[in-house]
Amino acid sequence: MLGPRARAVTAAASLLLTLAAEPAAGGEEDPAPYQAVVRSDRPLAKDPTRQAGLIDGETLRDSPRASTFEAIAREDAGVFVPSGGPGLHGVGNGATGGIRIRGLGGSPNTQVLVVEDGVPDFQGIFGHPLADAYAPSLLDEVLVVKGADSVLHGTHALGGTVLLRSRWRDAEGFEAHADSAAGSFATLRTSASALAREGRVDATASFFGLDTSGHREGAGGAEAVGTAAVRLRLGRGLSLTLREKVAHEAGADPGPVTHPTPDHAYEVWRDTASLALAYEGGSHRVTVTPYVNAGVNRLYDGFLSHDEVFGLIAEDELRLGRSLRLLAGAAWSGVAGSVENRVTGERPEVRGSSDAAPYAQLTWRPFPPFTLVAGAREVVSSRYGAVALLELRGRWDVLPGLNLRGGMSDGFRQPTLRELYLPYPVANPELRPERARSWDLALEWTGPLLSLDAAGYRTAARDLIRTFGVFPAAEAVNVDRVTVWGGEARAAIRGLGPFSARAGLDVQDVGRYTRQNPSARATFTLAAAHGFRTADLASAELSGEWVHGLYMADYGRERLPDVTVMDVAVRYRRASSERVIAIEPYLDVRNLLGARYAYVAGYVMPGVNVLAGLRLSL
Amino acid sequence: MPALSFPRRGGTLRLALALATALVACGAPGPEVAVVNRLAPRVLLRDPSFNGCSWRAVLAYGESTSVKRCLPGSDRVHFGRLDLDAAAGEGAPTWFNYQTVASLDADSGFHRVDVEAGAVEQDFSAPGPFGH
Repeated sequence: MLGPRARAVTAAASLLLTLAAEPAAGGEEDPAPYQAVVRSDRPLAKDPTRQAGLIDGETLRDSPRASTFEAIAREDAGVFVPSGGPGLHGVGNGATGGIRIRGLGGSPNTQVLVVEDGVPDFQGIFGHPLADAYAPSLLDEVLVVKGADSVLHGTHALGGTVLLRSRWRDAEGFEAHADSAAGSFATLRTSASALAREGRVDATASFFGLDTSGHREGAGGAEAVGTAAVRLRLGRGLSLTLREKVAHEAGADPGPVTHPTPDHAYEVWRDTASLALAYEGGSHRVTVTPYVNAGVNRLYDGFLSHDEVFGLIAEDELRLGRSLRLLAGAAWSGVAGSVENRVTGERPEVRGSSDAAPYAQLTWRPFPPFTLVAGAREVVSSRYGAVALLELRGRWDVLPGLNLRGGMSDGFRQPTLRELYLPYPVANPELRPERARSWDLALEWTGPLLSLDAAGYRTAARDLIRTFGVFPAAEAVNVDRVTVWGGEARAAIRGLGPFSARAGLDVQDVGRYTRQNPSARATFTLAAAHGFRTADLASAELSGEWVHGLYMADYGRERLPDVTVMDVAVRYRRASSERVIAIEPYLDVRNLLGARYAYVAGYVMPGVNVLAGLRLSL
Repeated sequence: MPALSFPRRGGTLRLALALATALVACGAPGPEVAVVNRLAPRVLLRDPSFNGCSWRAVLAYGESTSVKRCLPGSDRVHFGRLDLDAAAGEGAPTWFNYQTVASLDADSGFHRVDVEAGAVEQDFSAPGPFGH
């Protein structure tokens, strides 16, 4: 007699085998129309020594994980993102969705910067992005730059940077996609997106909606994210791009299972707009991007905040002969906001700040196999004065497919307005900026069948902001130095008939600041796909992660059991004979083994849960 | 007219859809739990919780909460306790946090938890202030 776990494993294994055993049609795999991936000729990383580990948007759209950040983490063992279950990542003590890279980041996610289509994305008061507000519908590529990266991106790029780029159509015409799914815990998820190119105009629009009851009281919530973008190609190398993104989410902090707080509700509105003027001609590539990011946060206890992040980035990538390229830029940004408690009438004083920063990066290829990169940034802050940041990196293409790369880079993070001024539970207006210096050395081999990538890293950080003590005697302070050592490796095998596999391992020593900072993490994905003569495609993917050495407190206290969780995703893409419309049913089974686990103590994750959906592409 | 019908030999697709329907339909429901106040005739029990479930209720002796579906797993029952005799004559009544001494392991089915006077202790595990 099989138990429920065994039955789930058996069913999934049968499905995988069935899909893999479909008879070969002998025809060539002809991509369906919606699979035409548009690639920009411009690399996502401006530093050629860091153009590694790109994640394709299609991979994230097909992921069984509940959010885009979780899907990114499933592809890269060096990126840790705790899950919140089928719903939103939430707020308060049980918030998840924070990104940790090489020992820094976490919840709230203020030490890892997210850059969406060239614009840094974080909230003015809280200093972190909305983890749920990244719908993968229009994602083209994602690149995770590990280690400090503030020379190019400024504040918050302390532990790493997540660069997201959206798609455009590259041929005249129109395409549209719709995706709706329903599953466990009354979860409904829907998205729609459209891309068009007509004459000198490119346009995209998307909508993403999610509503779920959650796997327990208070774990449910709803969100809606809408985006629109228009690009006008004005001729003579000039283009103008307008982007707008609006996000709304409403959920709750369900509290630990022993003391639930399903009424700890929150609501967030967020609006991000940017206007990018670009010119490409001769040896110049110039972009000027003003942006603004404004939002409103409401909490169950009466808290209400309004905040704004605004700025302007101007850059020129200048080719100086065949071997030299100079990227010179200037960035100006500011944060401001106001806070009140509508119940108590408190209005803590919040003082905004601004900073300006010239920066430059020189890329030199003295001989074909060698690339050297040197960069510097001078941040002049209205609050902290001048801060100098440096970067020195290199890459040696030893053989075709084999490269050695590494170097040093600086990171910097200004304290958030919440850390400075809001006593929820503690604040300290005397806090200093956090600083970090990262070193790494990586060896990468890319062959026709096998790819291998191994890296060792060291991050030395100082003045990290931590909260000590127990409320009401707790205090937020800059701590002394902390050093993180670690190593990571990735391997990918492809071309084994219908099968492919990829896996990664990250091991690190984070010193005494062990809170939510695991000492080891492994991820894997086993995939099988089969194309038919009719251009249909059946695929199945078994993926999982193992998290080891996860603590709820620093100094190695309050250890949580290791997390081992696996998911299965199966899908069948069918294109019509006229190639006009494609239909794609799919099924995601999460936590296939029904493991009982938690990333945050007391916030138990759901057992086996499923999401079944249908994607249509025109 | 675009061909939208499923392939006639699409056994895989039908199998996937059947499996999806079955999985969505069954799910993992978890145990049903109700809490009964058996402390003492003059002792009230307030806002009990168990493994992800919480009830907004004040229970007199012998009263029960509604039946709720909780997460599968093990937990104690946590609640507020007020002794009416001890609180007599005071201003605002003081509720103290208590929990059952024994844990209940409940994966499925119905569980009635009788909270009895000799089987409870003070609960100091309540979380700290809400961090924004």
